[in-house]
Amino acid sequence: MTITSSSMSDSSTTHRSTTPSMTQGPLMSFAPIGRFLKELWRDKAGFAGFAFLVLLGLAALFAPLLAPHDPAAQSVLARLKPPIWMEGSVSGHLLGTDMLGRDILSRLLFGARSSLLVSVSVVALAGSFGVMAGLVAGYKGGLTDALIMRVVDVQVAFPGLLLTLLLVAVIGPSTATIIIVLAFSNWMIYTRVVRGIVMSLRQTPFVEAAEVVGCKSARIILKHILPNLISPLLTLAILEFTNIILAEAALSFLGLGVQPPATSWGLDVAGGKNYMMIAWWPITFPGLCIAMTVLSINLFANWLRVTTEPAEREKRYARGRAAKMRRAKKT
Amino acid sequence: MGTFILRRSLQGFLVVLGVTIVVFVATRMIGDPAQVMLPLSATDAQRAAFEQQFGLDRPLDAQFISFVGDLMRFDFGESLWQRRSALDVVLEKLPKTLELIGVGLLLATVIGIPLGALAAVRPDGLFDRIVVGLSLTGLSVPQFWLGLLLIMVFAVGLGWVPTFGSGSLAHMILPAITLAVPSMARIMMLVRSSVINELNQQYVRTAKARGMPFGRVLFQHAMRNALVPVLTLVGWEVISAWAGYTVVVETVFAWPGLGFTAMKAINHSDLFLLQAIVFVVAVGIVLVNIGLDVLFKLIDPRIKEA
Repeated sequence: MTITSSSMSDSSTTHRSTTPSMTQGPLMSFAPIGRFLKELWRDKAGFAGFAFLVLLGLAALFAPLLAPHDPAAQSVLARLKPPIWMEGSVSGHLLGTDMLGRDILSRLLFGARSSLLVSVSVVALAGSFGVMAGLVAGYKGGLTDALIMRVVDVQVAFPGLLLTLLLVAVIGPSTATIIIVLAFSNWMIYTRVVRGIVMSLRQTPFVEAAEVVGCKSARIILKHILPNLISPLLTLAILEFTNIILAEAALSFLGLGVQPPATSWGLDVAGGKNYMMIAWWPITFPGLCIAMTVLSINLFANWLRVTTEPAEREKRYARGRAAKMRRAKKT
Repeated sequence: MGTFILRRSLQGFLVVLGVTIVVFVATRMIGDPAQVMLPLSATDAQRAAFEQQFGLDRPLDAQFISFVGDLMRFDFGESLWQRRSALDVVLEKLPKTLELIGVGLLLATVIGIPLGALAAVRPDGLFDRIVVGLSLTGLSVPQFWLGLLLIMVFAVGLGWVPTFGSGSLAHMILPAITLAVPSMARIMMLVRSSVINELNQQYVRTAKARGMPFGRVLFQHAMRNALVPVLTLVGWEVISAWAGYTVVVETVFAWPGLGFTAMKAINHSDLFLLQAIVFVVAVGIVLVNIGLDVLFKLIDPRIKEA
């Protein structure tokens, strides 16, 4: 118990430094954010990833203000113009134009909205359903548990992407469809993770004490168990984010995701595909956006995983010391 | 072992049943096959004829029974696009996909395992940082975009290999690399962390103390023990590639396998062919899963039957 409680409090301090400060509104203090950034700064790659994600979030939020052009505005005269630093470019189109003369930079900014909208919705939907199923399965045990986990096992072995394609083809492609279909095929991992943790938490004295005192199941689950799930779930959800962004891009690329006139990075790559022999920029920039976003999330998640897990923190510290000693020996 | 295989088979049966139910609910209850498969200009009479031809006007329970019955006889109906049995189309395209998965994952394993192991020799060293950076990049780049970039550079720019299609070994190179990259990244990461773990064990210290050359310590002692989780991952990579993740690569390179055919079936509104592909793949997943489980149990008897 002492080990769990200390590790839990340790892991939740780093977490506490991010979320509650956002919920406290105008009266919030900036100290926790400062502590968070200071700790993040030590991992330069993680910091760079986080910075990129913040910028991306802001770009998506303020896309209508930032975009120099209407992302759907076509121009016959300015078709396939290269980026501004190349010969033959047109002023006003920083990253050039695509085959319909639409401004690529503006499309990238609006495309960020699709990516973030789909990935946030899917992670929220699949996450909340999966976590709930996992909590019930882990806490209730017995027949309920067996039933839920059988469904999970069966669905994990489904032909994932192909079934997604079939569902989208039958329902008809749209942003709402891919959100629902991706949530349907991605909730199981949360259930597995949550159930495992809940089952081990049930054995701990603080949950047993709560049961003895006579707390109702709902109270134990929400007040005693859920807070201990936050740090592993946070890492899992962030990594799931990358999967969903890549899945949305792939589906949109195949023409089964976001539909025009809406914009999406995957859709733009598909649009530029037929012209890639003569123009590299219409497919390069949107693809780069997807890759950079996913890479940033991976770097940040890597830092978060190490930071919220005390054992990993120790390892990182030890490795740092060992490297320092090696360097000292050499000189 | 017998009961083990039996239990796995039962689980596999549940998977196929689950896929059946999802496909039935999706195609007959949420979606309307007549609306998907007939052109928009179809008259009411044509719709009625279509529904009668495929028994779509019957009650749902009767439809479900005949649906399951057809599946059990491997009768997937006729592909409306190809005008022949959907199963024939699937079986014709199947070898191409298997070929792609085989070569791609072989590539991922052959490159990923040694690189991961060498990176583990000095964690946080220069080589390790390069390998970790490469794997993170490999995990982050969308496959369709990577494929297009490779076409742009090596096929269009340098003209070394053909842009798309299949037939020769040269056609194989770019699709295989594209399919391999994310798997390679995951394999490298796992081998690395697994070997780092083994190198910290006492038996490695003993081997070193006895004066064994480090190459032998690494490849004969540490690697052998580190490979069990890696094999599980490779098995998982095979299944996930098979579960449809070749669709993107096949579409980019117009590789005539199951994935490309699935996309064509969607573009031709050929629901029956798409259904056939989904089922054959589902049965394939179940068989591969059972095969891998048995294999792993033979390799490492400690694996529990959970």
